[in-house]
Amino acid sequence: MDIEIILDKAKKRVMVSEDLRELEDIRVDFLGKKGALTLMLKTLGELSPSERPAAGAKVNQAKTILQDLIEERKTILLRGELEEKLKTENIDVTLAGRGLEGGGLHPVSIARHRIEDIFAGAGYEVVDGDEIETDYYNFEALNIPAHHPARGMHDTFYFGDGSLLRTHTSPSQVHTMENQEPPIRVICPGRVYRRDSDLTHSPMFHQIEGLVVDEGISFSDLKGTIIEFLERFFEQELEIRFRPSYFPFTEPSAEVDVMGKDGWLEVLGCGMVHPNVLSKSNIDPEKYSGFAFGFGVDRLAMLMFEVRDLRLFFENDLRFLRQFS
Amino acid sequence: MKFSESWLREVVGTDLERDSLIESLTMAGLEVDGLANHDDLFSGVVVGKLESVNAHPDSDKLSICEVHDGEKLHKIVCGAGNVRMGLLTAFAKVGARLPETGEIKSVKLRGVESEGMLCSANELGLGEDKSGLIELRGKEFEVGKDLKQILSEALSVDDVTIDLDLTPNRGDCLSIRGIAREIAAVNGLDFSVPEVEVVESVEPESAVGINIEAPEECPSYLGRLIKDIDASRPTPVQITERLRRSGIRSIDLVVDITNFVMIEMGQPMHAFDADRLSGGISVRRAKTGESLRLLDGKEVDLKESTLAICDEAGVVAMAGVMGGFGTAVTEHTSNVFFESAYFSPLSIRETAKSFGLHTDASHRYERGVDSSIQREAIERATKLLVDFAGGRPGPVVEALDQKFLPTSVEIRLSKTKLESRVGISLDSEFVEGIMRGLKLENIRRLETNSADTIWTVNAPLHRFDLSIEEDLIEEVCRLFGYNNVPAKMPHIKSKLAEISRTSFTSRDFKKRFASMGFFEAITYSFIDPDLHSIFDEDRKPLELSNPMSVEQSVMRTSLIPGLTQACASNIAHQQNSGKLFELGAVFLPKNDGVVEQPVRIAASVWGNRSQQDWHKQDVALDYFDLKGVVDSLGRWSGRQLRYEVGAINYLHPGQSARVCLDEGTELGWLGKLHPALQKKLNLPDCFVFELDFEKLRSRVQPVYKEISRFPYVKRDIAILVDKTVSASDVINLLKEELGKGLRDVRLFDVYEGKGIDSNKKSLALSLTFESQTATLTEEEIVEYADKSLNALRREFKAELR
Repeated sequence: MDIEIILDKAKKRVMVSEDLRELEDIRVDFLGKKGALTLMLKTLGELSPSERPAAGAKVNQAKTILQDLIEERKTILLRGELEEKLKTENIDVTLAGRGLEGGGLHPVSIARHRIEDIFAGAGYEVVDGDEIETDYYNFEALNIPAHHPARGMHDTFYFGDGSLLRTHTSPSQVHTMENQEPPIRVICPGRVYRRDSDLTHSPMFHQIEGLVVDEGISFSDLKGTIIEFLERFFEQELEIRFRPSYFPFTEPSAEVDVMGKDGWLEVLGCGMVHPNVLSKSNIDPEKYSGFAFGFGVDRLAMLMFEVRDLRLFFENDLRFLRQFS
Repeated sequence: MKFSESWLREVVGTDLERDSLIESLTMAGLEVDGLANHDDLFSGVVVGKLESVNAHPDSDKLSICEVHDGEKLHKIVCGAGNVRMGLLTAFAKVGARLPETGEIKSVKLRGVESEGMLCSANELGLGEDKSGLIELRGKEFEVGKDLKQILSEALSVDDVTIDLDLTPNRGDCLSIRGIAREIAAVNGLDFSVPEVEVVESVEPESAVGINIEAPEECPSYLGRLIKDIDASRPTPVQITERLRRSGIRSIDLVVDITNFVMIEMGQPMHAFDADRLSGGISVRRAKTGESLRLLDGKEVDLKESTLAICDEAGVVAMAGVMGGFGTAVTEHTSNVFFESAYFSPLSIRETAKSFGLHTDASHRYERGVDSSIQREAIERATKLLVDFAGGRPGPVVEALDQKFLPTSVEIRLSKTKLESRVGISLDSEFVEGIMRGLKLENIRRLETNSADTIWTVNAPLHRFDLSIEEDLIEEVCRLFGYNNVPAKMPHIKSKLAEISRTSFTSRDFKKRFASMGFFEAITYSFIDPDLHSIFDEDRKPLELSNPMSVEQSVMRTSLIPGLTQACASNIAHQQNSGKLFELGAVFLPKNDGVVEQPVRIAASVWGNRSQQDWHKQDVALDYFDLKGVVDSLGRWSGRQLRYEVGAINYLHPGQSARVCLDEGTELGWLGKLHPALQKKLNLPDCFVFELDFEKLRSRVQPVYKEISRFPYVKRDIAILVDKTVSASDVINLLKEELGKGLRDVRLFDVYEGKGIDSNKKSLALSLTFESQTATLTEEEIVEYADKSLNALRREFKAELR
């Protein structure tokens, strides 16, 4: 049979073949041991030696063409088959994913960590302290003797033996100064307690106090630190003012306001550590000076997360807590 | 401290805009807490005269009055008790507006038409008094005249009440005079205290003897008798209105005058009805057994620490705090005895505190009063009294012990220190300008050397808050302007962070819990004693002496009650599943009075394992969900935890375990809440644990262990053991017995019930063997397996299934 005719016939069968099995049959029919083209090679011996090379080349060429065609068809058929299979495997990719339901930190912790990180970056150490304190550490050592009118600023919770729930985290400052030589750079976060309860006051809240003591520390250093902190915390330039105020443990003392949407907003109190406070903790106030500041973590968290009612922080409603994770 | 802006302006004479005035108060450190206007009080109210008063035919309480408004009579139905013919009062005509009531309309009351309304001081917004109709007395109150116009003729209507939130050191600013000084100092105004007119005595014989027996508490006491006054005369509206705008209620002429002087000058005064005093005055500490009926009617037993004003018959006033009822002035008083004294702040504070009293007088005495103005104040009060109530003043009698009076201290200021503390350089002239503005006295510049300038000054007696160098540094800084001080960052020797490898931080824990699906709770440290005793009945908690409420009166001894409460309130809000944790201190009173304050970490879970979803069935959380959390904490810290069967009263006795470190230290408890407790608190199944944070936080930092290059081999075995044998005992035994060769052992099935003895259980274990040095041979594997089984047989009488 003419080689062209065989090849043509094979081509046609390849083109219409519908699955791999049929294609394999075609391969066997033409290229298998007894296939038409294989048989043709075997008939080459019947030709004269001068005709043989050309005829041989022709058969081999035909074989190659057919092999390629089969491969090509195979690829097409395979792809089709896969597509068919894939069609049966469709899923709704918008269904909820399986697995982890994450929890979250309390917004007060989130704000607290942020504050700690900002100060830790500048070498401040984080110091914890007890919540039940003695009168000495909460008041006396901070230049607030018994009967000082400033005690009226702190509505204090007392226990029968005269100990109390700390009204600020400043006692931690005193403990630090008693145990550490300047330079001192600490922040003292923690729970504090005052007898007060309304939209913006809770009998329990969180404070962070900062203390820096070294030679030559000035009010100007305090201003720089506070301004930089507030701008880092809120990540924006702020209009900030320092307003003279009074705390028995600092002098000069200031309250710091930030301009908000509805006017000035008080955010923290600060000042230069009072010489009596330094001397009570055995730090020479002539040689060293320092500044201290304190603010409500809850208050900063309220501003950060736009929470209007402080009491929400202590209700532990999951619908509230889930919003901050 | 509340005060009228126009009063201040009259004293200090400034044309500052209102905003600037407010701003300069705030920036001087006198924080303005609020402003209240006076131009929107009421309108359409005139002076009305009652021409007739008749009983209402259908009511016992109402009267029908005919009120003249200057033009004609109106019929008014009124329920006030003080209606009477001839009374001049505030008449709100139809169409008038009152601050609370709104527009006045003609209404029928019990069938009688009332053409308007007669008003009390309270209804007009002029005061607290709502006991009856306001009684208008004085020539300015012409019948028919607009009441608001009368008030504005007396005082500027364009006025505000400024409410200052004063810090306790600035007692000197509890008066118009003190605030005026500050405004002048801050704004560089020329100001000197107005001269007070001296009223000569016309009754030289009318002197009351004064004897101070407690000079330390009362170094100075001035008294003056004024005879034959007419106390029933009305207080002029200039005074009542000023007082009202300064937050002080009008009482009667004499008291109004003492209050006026107090607001004006800062000196609290007291007025006695001299006819009700017997003999001279003595100032002494009270004796046990003495009592006093106070002005407000309350009878109090005095203490030995109480400073008392006494006459010959006994105590007549609690010094500096409140006068006595029996000697109070009334409208019938004709002879008045004025007191103007200096009491020591400490003494008054102690008295006021011990009786829980807080008055305008004690507020000032506690913070300090200028010890140089007692005479001025008594002259001022006398002048006002004589002007408005007539009377013949006697001489001012003064008892004084100079020794205990505050003195003006000399304060030293170094320019170098000032500059270094503030962080700026200042001109000496500038500093002295500030000193003069503050009315500091004896300002002297001592040139010590070229490096420094030293000043000495004396603080004026009204600035009793200034005594040390830092006080002056603050004053200079304040008047220089805090906001003019440049901001810079401190230069401190840098230091790198110290971070422990052997303990976790609280933050590490919080983040770990959050990643395990828990939300952080913050519950109150004080709880309800009833709730406490449900959980920890045997331990007496620490009690607050002055709690806000019973529900917050004892300190928690565990975090579990608070977390359980949070669980209950979440369920009340339809949060039917949840996982909460808290990290915080608990408070454990010890027998020796010491209170331990360990930090704990606790969790509570309830409801389903995960939120309802398409791919899984709702599975209720159980003990093992929570135990899994504790297990993972153990793995995380690289330490072996041990669970011991045990019971604690708030947990289910059969589903609770004591969690220990391997060496035996107790970490805390894990389990299901006791069903009885759940029922009491109306809770569904709730699982909790509470562990000691300090013990849990220490960790073993991981160290790399060689990974075997040889394949491991797994063998599964199933054994029967007594039910009492715990899984952990089995596992620990195998680990101990096989040592290094056993890479892992897992218990993958527990079965009790059909097919096995009722007191036995079947445990299916998967053992993984491994060698670091070679592939295990079949013989070695068999040897390991036999060793395991033999040990189990030996220790637990286990049978192979």
